[in-house]
Amino acid sequence: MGVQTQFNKFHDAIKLSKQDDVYKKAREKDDSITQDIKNAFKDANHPVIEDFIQGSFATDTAILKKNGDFDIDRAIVISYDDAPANPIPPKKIICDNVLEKRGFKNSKIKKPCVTADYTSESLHIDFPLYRKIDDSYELSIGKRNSDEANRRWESADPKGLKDWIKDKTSYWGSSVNKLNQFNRIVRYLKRWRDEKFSEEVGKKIYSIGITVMAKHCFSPSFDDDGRAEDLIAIKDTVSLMLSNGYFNDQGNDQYKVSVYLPVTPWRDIFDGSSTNTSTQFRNKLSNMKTKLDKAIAEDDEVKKCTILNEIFGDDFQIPEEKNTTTENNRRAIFSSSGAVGTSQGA
Amino acid sequence: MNYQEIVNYLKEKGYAISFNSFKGIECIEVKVDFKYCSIEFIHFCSEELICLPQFLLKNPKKYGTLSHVLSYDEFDLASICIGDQDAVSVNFEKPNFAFKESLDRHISLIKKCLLDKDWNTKELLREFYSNWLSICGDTKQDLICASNADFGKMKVFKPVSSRAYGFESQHIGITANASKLAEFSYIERQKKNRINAGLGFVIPLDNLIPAPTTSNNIKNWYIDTISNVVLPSNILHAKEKVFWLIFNADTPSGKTWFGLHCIYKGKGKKTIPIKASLLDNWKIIPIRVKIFNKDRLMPRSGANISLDKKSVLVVGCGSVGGEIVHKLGAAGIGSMELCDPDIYSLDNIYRHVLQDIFLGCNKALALSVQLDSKYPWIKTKYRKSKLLELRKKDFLEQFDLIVIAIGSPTHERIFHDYIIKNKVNTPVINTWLEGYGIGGHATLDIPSSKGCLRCAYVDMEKGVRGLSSNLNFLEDNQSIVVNHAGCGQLYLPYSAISSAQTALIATNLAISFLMKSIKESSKISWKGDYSEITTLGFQVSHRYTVFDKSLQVIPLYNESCDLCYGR
Repeated sequence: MGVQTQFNKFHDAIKLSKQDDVYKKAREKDDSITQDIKNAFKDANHPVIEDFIQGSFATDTAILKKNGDFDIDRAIVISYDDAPANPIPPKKIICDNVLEKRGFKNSKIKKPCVTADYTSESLHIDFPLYRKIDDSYELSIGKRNSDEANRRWESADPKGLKDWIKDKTSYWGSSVNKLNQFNRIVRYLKRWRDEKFSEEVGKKIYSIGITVMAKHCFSPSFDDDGRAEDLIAIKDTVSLMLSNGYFNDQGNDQYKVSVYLPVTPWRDIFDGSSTNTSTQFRNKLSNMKTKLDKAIAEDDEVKKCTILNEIFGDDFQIPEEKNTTTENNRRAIFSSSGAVGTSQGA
Repeated sequence: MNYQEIVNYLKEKGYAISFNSFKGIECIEVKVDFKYCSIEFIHFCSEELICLPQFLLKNPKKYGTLSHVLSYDEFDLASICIGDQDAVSVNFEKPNFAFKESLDRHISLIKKCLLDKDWNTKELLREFYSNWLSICGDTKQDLICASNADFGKMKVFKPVSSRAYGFESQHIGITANASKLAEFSYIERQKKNRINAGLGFVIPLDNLIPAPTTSNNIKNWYIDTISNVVLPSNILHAKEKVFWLIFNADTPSGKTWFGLHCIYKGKGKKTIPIKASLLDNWKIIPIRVKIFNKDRLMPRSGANISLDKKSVLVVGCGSVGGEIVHKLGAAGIGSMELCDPDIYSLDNIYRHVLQDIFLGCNKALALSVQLDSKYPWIKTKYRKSKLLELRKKDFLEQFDLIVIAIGSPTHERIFHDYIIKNKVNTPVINTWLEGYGIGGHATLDIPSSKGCLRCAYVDMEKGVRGLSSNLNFLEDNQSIVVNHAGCGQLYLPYSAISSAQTALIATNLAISFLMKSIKESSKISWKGDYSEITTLGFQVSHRYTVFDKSLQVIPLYNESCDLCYGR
């Protein structure tokens, strides 16, 4: 059946999309909390003027974590005119007046957002807070007790970032399929991270960092008939990620990773990351590339998938040894579309 | 042209060449000595070198009848045919070389004619027809002959008056045995509005004498020829004032046909003159004969006679289907059934092969009429059915091939389902184009071979049955059609070039299959320019970006096709 079939199964196993039941349930909780936030903000005289999903759900790159956890990033936006100069009090409202009252024991004001865990649902929700002036957004930066020097409203472009990640105009030919392949590659890389790094280090290999690197370096691969070749695509993409100047050699086989946001505030996503994190990131990526090369060179499908299983974990299945009898029938799988527009005429 | 330079060059190369004048016209003259004679060539000087320089043979009568040599008695010169001028590319930038090349060819040919008598005679017979044409006068006496090659009596009809061209502008001769020929109904139609032009006979010749070099020698040639033929009594005893004698004979280049128009100037009617003494008062005029015979005409005019027995059903008579049926007809397909419920309208006029006289007519009917009038041996039928109304196994299996050119993926897939479920064993070609000149495609689905229409519809991203073809060069779900006048007036923009190109690849597939040079399910695409598409903001498919097999026939089988996998 080919290694692509195994990649497809792997993707089906790890992907999380807005259509999934688990997400729909989480959205109900998320919507309920968001409504409470809106009510609380209204009472505090800085009503919510907009809210939207950002992060991996918005860019179709969300995955199920190995432990089943997943994240939702819900942006809360208030008007510039109604926003206090100090960005922390509104975050406190989210944390103290809404989340704690709803029984979240571990809600926390982090530097870029307020966060809460639904342990019973394996759901983790982040609430980044913005104020909006005209069409521009500014993100509330600062922790609960940050002093004036460490808190601010910082220019940000969450929608621009989403659009940049979802942009397909640079893909020549079947751009939708190529964007879909990009989304799959990002999911594979995230799962690889979750597999290969300790929890402590892995959470510092930020998803947005992986996504931005992959977007810059994405090398789509399809055969002449248009069949996806995810193995080639991820190998080529990882190759470029290693050679694209993200990892700066610090001497003694130590590295420092720098990946800049492609939109305002154009900051280094890995600013503050330790050399250890960067070095592990670089070395494990390099190791993955070596294994991907090996998998490509391997003719035997089972051996090929065994290598990929080592890279991506058990959700990447190793097919059983090929049956000696030829499979003569294949079940017809019908299109899930009701109709598609075609360019055909005569 | 600098003739001094040319003459100097040829002198350097050892030719006996000099400037001269012939009847006051400047020329150069070349003398060549053979073992037992000397030959003189002349070349009339010209301003520009636009073909291989021509050298004429002086005093040609001295050498007897030579092949490839055409005499002009009044000047005692003869032209020499050294080959098809269009088949050579001449070095007009270096005329010296062109003159030497040409002169060498002239000399070599004449030497061969003089030294190899057998070859010369064989060549004279081989080129009989072209020599005959050279002695024929204007085209008024030309005759189209519907006959086989046996002895036969022939009715000859005059051209329709006032017709300057076309079939009706020429005499036609029909023998009794022609009624057994497939073309008879076609040729019979040509008799309309014509009057009798006299009696004719078809006379096969066993021993062909080389054609006379001038029309002055025609009577001698005729007597030499006819005296060697044992004529049937009905020819010997027929009396008329006008005879059309149509000869045929085998030559090294195949059977050749030519004729004589014999007119008696005396009183009363006479039998055919078979002796020199009987030729008085007879005017003998050499004429061109065009034989209207399937075995000769189909191959000569580009058709393949082996396709004459093939029967093809063509569904969809739009701009692509219209082109296809014409190309199939031109290839020599013997019978076609055309299906389309559509009416030919003004909106079709530029990209459809039909003329305006068919406006308002059913397209299938109009094309059927067109084909019948253009291709003499074709048999066509038409019906106003839609594709899905043709789902009848017995009906479909009477054809050697079904060609579907309707551009409707839904109906084509439904029809394909019927073919599969009912095990219809007739191969099917589906063909379609895409808008804005981006390309066109054709698939050949042979039931006994791996690969089917569904192979061309596998969704390559998901590996499932798709709704649009994976051969397409444009991405799905784009509003390609143009709406000028609201619902029901949508159309896909493409030119006649696109429809013709698409028809060509589809017909090529059809003919290759019917000729058995393709035995497996196949596909073929042509890829056009994308500039207009991208200007309009449309997206091309991945296949378009990598496709480099334009016009090449490649296997149709797709391993992700659930119908073909494991077959």
